[in-house]
Amino acid sequence: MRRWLREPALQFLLIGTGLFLAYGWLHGRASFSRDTIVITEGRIEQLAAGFAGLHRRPPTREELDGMVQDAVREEILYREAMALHLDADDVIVRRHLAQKLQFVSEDTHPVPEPTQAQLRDFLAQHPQQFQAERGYSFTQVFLNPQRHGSQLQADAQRLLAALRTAPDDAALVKGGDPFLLDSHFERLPAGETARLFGADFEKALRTIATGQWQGPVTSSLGTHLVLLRLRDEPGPPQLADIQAEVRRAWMNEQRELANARFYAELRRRYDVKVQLPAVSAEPAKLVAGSR
Amino acid sequence: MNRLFTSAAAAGTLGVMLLAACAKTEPPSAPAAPTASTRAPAPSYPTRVYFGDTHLHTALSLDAGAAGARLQPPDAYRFAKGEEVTGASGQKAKLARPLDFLVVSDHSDQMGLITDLLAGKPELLKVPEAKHWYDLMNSGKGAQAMVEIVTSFAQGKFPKALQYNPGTKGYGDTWMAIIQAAEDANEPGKFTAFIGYEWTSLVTGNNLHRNVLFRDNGDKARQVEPFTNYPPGSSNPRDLWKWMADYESKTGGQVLAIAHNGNLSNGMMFPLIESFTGKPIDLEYVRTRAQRERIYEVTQIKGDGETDPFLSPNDEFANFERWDKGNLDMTALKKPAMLEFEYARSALKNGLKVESQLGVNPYKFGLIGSTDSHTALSTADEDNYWGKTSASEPSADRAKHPFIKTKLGVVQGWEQSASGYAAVWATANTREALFDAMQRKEVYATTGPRMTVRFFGGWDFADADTKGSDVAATGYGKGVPMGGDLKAAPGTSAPTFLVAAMKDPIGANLDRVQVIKGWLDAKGELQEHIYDVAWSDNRQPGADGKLPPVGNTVNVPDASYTNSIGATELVSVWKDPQFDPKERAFYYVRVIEIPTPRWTAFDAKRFHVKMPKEVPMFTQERAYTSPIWYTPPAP
Repeated sequence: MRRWLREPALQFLLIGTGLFLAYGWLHGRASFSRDTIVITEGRIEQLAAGFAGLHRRPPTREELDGMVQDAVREEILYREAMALHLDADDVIVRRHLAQKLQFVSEDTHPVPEPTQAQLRDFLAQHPQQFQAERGYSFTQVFLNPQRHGSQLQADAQRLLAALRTAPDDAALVKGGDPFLLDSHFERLPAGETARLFGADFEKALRTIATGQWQGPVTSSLGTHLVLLRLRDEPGPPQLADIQAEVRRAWMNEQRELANARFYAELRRRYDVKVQLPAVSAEPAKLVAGSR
Repeated sequence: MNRLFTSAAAAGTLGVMLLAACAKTEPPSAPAAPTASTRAPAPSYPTRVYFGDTHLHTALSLDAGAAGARLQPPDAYRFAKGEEVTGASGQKAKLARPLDFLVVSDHSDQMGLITDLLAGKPELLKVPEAKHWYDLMNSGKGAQAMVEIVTSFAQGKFPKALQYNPGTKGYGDTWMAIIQAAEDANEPGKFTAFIGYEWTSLVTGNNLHRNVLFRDNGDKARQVEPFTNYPPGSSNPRDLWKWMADYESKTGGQVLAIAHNGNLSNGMMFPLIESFTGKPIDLEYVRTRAQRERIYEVTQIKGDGETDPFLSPNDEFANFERWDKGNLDMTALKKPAMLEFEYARSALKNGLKVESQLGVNPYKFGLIGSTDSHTALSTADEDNYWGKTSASEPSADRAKHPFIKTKLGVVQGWEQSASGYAAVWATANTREALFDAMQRKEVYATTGPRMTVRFFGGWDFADADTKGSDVAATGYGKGVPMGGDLKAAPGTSAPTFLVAAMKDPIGANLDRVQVIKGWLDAKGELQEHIYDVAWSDNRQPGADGKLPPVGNTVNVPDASYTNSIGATELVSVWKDPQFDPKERAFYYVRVIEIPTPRWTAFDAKRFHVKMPKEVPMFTQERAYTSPIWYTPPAP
């Protein structure tokens, strides 16, 4: 409520001429006209319903009178404030009205339900957006570089050779150093792989050969030897599996497109001149270099 | 006790030697611990630790909404899942890594009132106080509105005509919306969205808050309305416990309660004398508390609650993110005598004493961290810290704005702690599995980093156990995990512990791992001792037994550090050198990271501001595990 007091233009108005002078100037004593305010039956019902919703009983006669008088008061103050253009410099009012117009346009042009064909097309145009994550099934053996020091590479190669020639790798995964995450993972999504082992490790899993012990692979925790059993590349997404998700995205895009069209239409009615202040290149560079 | 290998020669042959050793020492009839196999069935014990937040507010909370929060529960869940949202300050916020679970725990008292007040419901604006707060909020003074609202609430002066409480339509609608948001966000196996709320008990400004967390889905949670502090609710925890019991008998469901911020309770959080009656806590109190409150939120934005330098003068890491000037709303100052009944370590100790008298330990709790953020943004990373309230979202001067200021004292903005998260060892990422893990206290607290910590207690862990690759199989095979009870001693020898910690995959190295022991000695005195059990960089303890500091690589102006010091992983077996089988004891682990830049350093760099001299610019993040308890056999 007091924000408008901080608006420079209004401060000027207040300090310079005073609210009453402004009022007199706008209306003039002689031309002070009588306006009519009608509080309709519908509005009163609305007030009563609002009260009942909050208090779980209908308002008494006195309470209803009070609400009506409040509504009248609000209406009068509102009209006078508008006459003084108090809305013009108010950031909140401007934003609110702009947003309201947007809502109105959305309400008057609701997005229709998509057809199956539209959804199919949408999915075909945005396959990346709906692509399921790649998954990795693997076993890993950990070598803690701080335990091996300069021998790390040699130790890793030795262990790798042992793992590759071992008839059964079941017991061999115990050959590594203590590790607090699992040794075995089934279809671990790429994002989670990166969370548990770091981004570089996940990157390595994208390309290493499957079916045979590989390594050393570096993670943010140390060094690993990895047996990648399966790199699960999910096929292209099928509409039947993600119908609701695609519908949501389609509706959202339609809404955004409609909003853009609506704005473009309005925008065409205006000539816009932007008066940029002259800026030297130096400070701009500085801004770009900092965060 | 450092288990890091120092000899390159010994380490050189390690891999192959271990291969051979394993083959020899693993007969087919090996112990209960499952052997690793590439196609082995999933072990029955948890192999994954899940990180989340059990304490987060949205615009639906009275104080959060008043301070300018506009995001609601669906936004909070989206943010926790790693999506980008726009905070109240208009800035875009995104986590570096998603969380695994989240509880939206809005204050039950006046839940949803603020969003209706903001909408300017005429019925509400008739109340002068509401009108005043409405005007403050609309003139950009949300922070002031929040302080006034919290104070009015804390002092029991909140206007009657404004109450959004059980039985009112506004309250009921809000609760349904909260449940729906959790139901929509919950993805078993991938992300757990718990249904919950915060019971905001304040006794003249002294914080006795508890978060209530449901194991159940909406079908059960919808059958009740959250318990409140105001009538028809109560500020006495016994009444909350009764509400919990009623819920369970009515629905067949399960709920748990998590207390927090004992540091702002002015001596009331872990009482020996109940403030509500003035009498010593009785058997019913201790039994019910032990049953209902099995974990405690030990670290969060409003300070760390492990211990205080006054209580633990010999603990060099005790003076950490301390917030102990007064009670919650700073209407009463702290007195040293209150501290014993506020901090986790002293409560764990007092619990032993109560147990020796009444036979039940009321303070046998596990430890978690959470944020208590009031922005719907669960952030605990120093380099991505979004503040306690919307007013403390990133800005050039947020560190210098007082967080709370009364005639008695002031807590500055920079005193907020970018902390913490709850780490849960669960068998799956579901409501049921995470809830059950919390109930068995297989959890630990972190101040933000996601380090992995294992802690097992048993009678025959040996040094060789630090070399096996599968710490979990060894730990569960030979002992009990964090939160458990040591089984009866097989002889007179001391208990042994397998302790292991691994750094956050994208975080800082580790300085040291400590075991903290508390016990009730033969004279009936409570004792505590801190043991360094594993550390980095081959340091040698000095003549006084103290380990030298790990060093500090923090470049404050650049808000950076390097992992050139510290260890990526620390593993050790530790045996209690002062064990007496007749003495009750608990043991928990504290993991300390190397120094890293505090959020204030990131702010200084990002906004090109100079912080006041007293502002700490680096920190040593940490994890606290739930204890393992030892109870002597009955004589």
